[in-house]
Amino acid sequence: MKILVVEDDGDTLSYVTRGLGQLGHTVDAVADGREGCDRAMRGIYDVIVLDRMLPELDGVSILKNIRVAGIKAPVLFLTAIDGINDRVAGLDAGADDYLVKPFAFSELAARVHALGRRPALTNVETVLKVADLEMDLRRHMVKRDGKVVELQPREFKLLEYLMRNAGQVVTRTMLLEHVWDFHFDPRTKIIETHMSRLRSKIESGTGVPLIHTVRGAGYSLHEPE
Amino acid sequence: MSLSRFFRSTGVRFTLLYVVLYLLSNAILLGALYLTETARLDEDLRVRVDSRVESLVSQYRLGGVTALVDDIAMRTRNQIKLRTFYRLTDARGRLVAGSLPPFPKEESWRTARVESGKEGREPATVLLRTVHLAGGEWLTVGMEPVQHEAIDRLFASAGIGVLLATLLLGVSIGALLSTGFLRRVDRMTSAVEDIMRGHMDRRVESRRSGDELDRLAASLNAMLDRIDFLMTEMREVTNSVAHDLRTPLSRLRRRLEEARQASLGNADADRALDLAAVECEGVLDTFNAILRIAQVEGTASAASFGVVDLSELVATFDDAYRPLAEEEGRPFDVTPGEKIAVRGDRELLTQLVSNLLDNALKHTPPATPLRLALERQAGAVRLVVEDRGPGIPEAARKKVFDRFFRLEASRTAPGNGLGLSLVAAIARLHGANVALEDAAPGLRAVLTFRK
Repeated sequence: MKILVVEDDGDTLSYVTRGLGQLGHTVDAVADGREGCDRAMRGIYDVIVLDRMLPELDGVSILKNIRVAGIKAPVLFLTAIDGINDRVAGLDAGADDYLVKPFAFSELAARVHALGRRPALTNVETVLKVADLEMDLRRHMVKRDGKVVELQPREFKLLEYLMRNAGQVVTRTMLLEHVWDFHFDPRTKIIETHMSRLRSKIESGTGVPLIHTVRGAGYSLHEPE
Repeated sequence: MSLSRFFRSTGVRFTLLYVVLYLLSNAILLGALYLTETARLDEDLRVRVDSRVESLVSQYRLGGVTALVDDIAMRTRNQIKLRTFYRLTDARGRLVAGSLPPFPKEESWRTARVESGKEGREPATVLLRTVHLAGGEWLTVGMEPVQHEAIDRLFASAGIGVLLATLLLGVSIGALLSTGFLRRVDRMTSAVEDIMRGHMDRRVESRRSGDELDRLAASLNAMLDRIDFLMTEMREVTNSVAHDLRTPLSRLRRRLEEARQASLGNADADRALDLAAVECEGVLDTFNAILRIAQVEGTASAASFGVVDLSELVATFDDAYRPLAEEEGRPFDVTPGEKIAVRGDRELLTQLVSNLLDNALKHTPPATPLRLALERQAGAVRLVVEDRGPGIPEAARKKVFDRFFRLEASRTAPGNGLGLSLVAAIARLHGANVALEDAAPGLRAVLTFRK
């Protein structure tokens, strides 16, 4: 993927750039708001990572400008913990996801990947399929190996999110935000218990695991290798 | 107001004290007046009796017994109002004139009650003087102290008047005190109580009149300003430490992450790096929590407020926490109520409920029942998180809202002692009251939104 990172803190910028580069992405790193805006306007990026506080032109203004200009590239908005309204402002201005600083690189990478896959999702999909796991979104039905699996509504939502991001890492916080609308991390094992239930439902009997735990990062649903 | 509280109020006490003192001083004054007045009247009567005796004695000297008897008869006939009584006995003791009963034969002054001699009249108390005349006769003259009665009546009515006036004056002064001075004291008390409830920006009213109450108010306000200043300063120091150390800490964590990725396959080194990263994460969490509290406390307006469906929120928690509760063997009783909504910030309220539930999970042993309920009660909305665990001793229930306060029993449990501080800050922002109660056994956290 071609990624633009606009961030004025040099340390964070080099760290993010290096990390994403190591994952095989082409990264343009910019520390200045105005230049960031100019670059983003070119419309050549798959994902844009944008900091809230920038010299010259702040993140929200850049967002508004590029959205007005018709740039549809998904934007990951970086905010500070003590700026709760920044997140709302960012999402209102057209950001697709946000991340509170400081963050772990694995968190950023997972979100960038999820965003990079998004264009495919805009196609109206009615059936999601990973190996022998099928999800019919219209009939709200899940089948594993042709057999119907009964899921609770929230388990369905959880599985849907995993399937839409199949092959990618999704983090605990991403699940908390998208499945429960919890924008903070309760230091309890709620994700783990839900995940183990879901696993036991879709993996019972088959013996082939589809949901994999990624150490220190989160979960990933993918076909057995 | 109960009767005992009524008498304990300073206004009533002042009034009673005032009335009693005033009555006492008036009684002393009236008493002294009465005594001097009656003494004067006594003296007056004595002079009049004397002069009557003397004029009778001079009649006797001029005309003997006959003249004396005539004189007495004439005087008795002519007297209209002021009554004088007589008794004249000859040397052998036989009554010659007058109506008084016999008295011992000696020259003396005395008072005695005598029949008035007329039908329907009370016996009168009279002042008597007895003299021995030259011919051996005994003459007694008595006069009724008529003016005494008038004076008694006068003082009685004056006494009643003074009593009424004192009562009236006392009550009105008491009322004045209560409405003025004491009401100011009351207002000061309520201001101080408000401040104790956490409205640190309230101040005691001052009239700038420079009286004692004003000086007290000014001192109180100065003290409050000082406390406020110290508290703000302490909080700012903590916040800026948290803020300034966050950047180097996140760099440190980043370095650890990089080191972990560049691992040379040494398992011990990897474990040490992982543990270091976890510690680093913990410190960052604490700092983030401090800044989050500061941010909520610093939010003045309700700009982010909207209608939050608490019933739906509670249902979400039911859903999110049930598997965890079941895994720990905990009965989890959830009452979401129906379409109960308040004005607020959904995200903050979610965090608040989450913190309360997390606390219950963290500080009670597995299999301890939990309850999450939303109920309407007397125009208020109550959100209840209850457990059947060991509870919190009464003395510590207020302290657990303080930043970094941790109970001795839970020092080893994970956490930073900031969860309930954030709960308190969020509740305050919403104008809601949060209280911890004894669930006997266990702890009940109640969040009350007043309508």
